[in-house]
Amino acid sequence: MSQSTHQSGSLVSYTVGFVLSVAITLAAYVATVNKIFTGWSLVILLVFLAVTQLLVQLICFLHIGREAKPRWNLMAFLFMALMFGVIAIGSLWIMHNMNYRMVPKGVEVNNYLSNQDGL
Amino acid sequence: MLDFFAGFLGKLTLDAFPHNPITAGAAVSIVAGTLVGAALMTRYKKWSWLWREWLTTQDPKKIGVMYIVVAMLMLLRGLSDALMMRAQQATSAGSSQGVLPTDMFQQVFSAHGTIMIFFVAMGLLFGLINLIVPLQIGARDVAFPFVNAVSFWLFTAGMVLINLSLVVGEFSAAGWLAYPPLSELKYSPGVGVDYWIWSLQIAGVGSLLSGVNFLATIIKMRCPGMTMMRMPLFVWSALITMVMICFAFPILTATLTMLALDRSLGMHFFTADGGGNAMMYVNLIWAWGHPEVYILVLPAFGVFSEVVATFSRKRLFGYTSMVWALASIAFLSFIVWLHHFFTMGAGADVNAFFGITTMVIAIPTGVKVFNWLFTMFRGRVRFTTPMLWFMGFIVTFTIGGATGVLLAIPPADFQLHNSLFLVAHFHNMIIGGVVFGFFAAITYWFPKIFGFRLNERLGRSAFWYWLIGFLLAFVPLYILGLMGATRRMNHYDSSLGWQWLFIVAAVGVLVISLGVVFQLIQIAYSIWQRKGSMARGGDPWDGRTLEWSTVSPVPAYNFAIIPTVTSRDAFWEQKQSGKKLTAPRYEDILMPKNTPMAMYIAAAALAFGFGFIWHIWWLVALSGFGVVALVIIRSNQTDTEYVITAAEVAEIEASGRKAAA
Ligand code: HEM
Ligand SMILES: [Cu+2]
Repeated sequence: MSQSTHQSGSLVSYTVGFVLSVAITLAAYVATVNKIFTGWSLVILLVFLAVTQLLVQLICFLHIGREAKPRWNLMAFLFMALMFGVIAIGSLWIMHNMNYRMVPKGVEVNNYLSNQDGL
Repeated sequence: MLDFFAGFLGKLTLDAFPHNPITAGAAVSIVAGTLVGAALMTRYKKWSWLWREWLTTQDPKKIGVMYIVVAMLMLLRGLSDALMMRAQQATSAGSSQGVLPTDMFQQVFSAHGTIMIFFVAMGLLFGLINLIVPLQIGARDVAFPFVNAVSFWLFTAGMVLINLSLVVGEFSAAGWLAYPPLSELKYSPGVGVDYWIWSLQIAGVGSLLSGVNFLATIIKMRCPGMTMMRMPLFVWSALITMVMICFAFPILTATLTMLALDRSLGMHFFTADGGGNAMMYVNLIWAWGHPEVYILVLPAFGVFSEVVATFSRKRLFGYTSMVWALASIAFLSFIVWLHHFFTMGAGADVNAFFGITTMVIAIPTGVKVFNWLFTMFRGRVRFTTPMLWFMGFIVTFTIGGATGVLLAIPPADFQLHNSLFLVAHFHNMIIGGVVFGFFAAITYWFPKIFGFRLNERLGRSAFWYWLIGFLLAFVPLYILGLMGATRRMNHYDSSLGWQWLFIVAAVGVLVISLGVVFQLIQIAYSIWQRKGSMARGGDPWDGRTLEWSTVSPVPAYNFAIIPTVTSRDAFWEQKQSGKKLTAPRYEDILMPKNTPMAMYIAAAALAFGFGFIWHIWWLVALSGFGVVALVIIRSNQTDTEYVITAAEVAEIEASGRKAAA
């Protein structure tokens, strides 16, 4: 455990990380609440900010890239990416499918009812 | 004046204290039990011993024992809940409404499921990993001893919170996973769901910290020579479980947070209106929930791998395939979660995908079962109690696995979803797999930790009561489920002819309870008669892995000299070759000092949860600040270790060896 002393960050890196994190979070909040962006552009912006947040914390707090044995970290990262892909893409697929099938728009319900049940 | 206090304590008023006789009885017995315990402690002047030896400890072995004690207490609580449910369903046919009021019945099944999963199974799991993993990898400690203590105390804080709901307020009536919209404020306006959320949230953070901690421990702290492919299988199972915890528990934390925000701050993540989507909750909770069931069962697989090899006096058959089976089960368990909600309305393509991935898990699991059986084949098998639990496991787990594959077929699930068939299936896996596995482990490793064995005869009786009781309690549920009985049902029509099956199931729980009584007697009797079953030499079963190479009870530092290993089953090889593993030239050993800080942090977290539940916002602010402040203070403490000198080590080792001889 003590071999890790050279990795631990400086006050500077923690402060920078903290300030950036707060700024990114506020940016996401303001962009959404004040409706500066809407629709897909908002989604894309939020995803972008989230990924940036992730990178900032990895670099400033966890000091990625400065460790003695990067192979373990690389493996952990690849695995994380895999799990993330599985859960995020899986959820999108599932939710899209369910929403599509379970929350038909009013027009569709009416069409269905008039076609199928002759109402 | 009264008004001031009313605001001061948020939603907490005198109404929160129990009125109905059953909850009042439970509340009184909890309070009385605590008081009697405290009085006995004072009478026998044990407080300072408790504080010094246990509450402030950072020794993973002691933390492990405390986990198991808490989990056993919670098993008693969960079992009483089961007894109540069984009493209700056995008596509630036709014109009789049974023994429990409806709302209480709902709280009881919710509490039973939550407690059994989070505070029994998880507690036993972390308890065992704490006890055994450092010993099996030849390490003196875990990577972050203080964080480990924090994990334990957060687990305990969650446990206190869930039991507090019996005394102050009420518990959730929304089932063990609290699906919205039922669990939203609109339909569950009381504090029950909040108790559920915060108790799991606090315990869950503890689990996540443990996951990180043991992952680091296993990767970084193995003794020289112990390559990955030389690790005992229990360590492998722990490693893979910890990886799963690291990826699954954050999903739980995030989901619970969103539900809490919905309930406490009027947000709309999962509400039926305001743009929320309750189906997203179901999706997320099972994205955690399915990996969770494998988090519980993989360590049990690890235990059986050790037990079977030891008691067959053979090297485990197919080590490499066992490792790969564990890894592929772990990966697959992340891509099957939809099988818990086939009926929610996804299309045939989605259901088919998740149905097939689910069935595929049976393959690596089958590999493991065959490997265990091949290990026994032509071995010199000793049928000790741990082996009995293993045999019971093989039978029940195989039945449960078969019904599981059945449930994985979406059209079949459309019939069986939400039925007692499902309840029978998962108890088959959880009792037959997880609980039997952990009981085997406790019997197997007990002499290592305490220096004497548990009584075999009483252990056998306990096993038979558990196995027969289990079959009596759950086979009827399969039948009832096929007949159409739904789960969580508090009443049914007498013309259905179900009552006798429910009565058989109730008898089954009574038999299980006898098993538990025998286990308690077994522990008490074994302590009383310990002179006759001493195992100070540390190797009572003729074991194969490193933990058996130390004296028992294991000294604080585990290994006087860190072993160097050259093969799998290192201790067995060493015994076979007759060589000493290490030459005894002792050195000073640094160990972490005791500290109450972990307990304080968890106490602040408990207050934080309590404040949130009752909307006592000043308490939330104060205790939230307290947690952060305590962590900062602890991080700046420097004098956190003490030295065990070489002379002391020599003395401890010599006395252990002498007692053994
Ligand atoms: C000791 C013997 C046990 C008995 C007799 C028992 C009995 C029961 C019964 C009667 C139910 C309610 C079934 C219904 O919905 O009608 C139930 C539900 C449940 N049990 Fe157990 N159980 C036992 C052990 C366990 C264990 C060890 C676990 C997990 C580690 C567990 C987890 C659950 C869960 C998650 C539920 C679902 C609760 C819900 O519907 O929300 N049980 N059990
Ligand atoms: Cu599942």
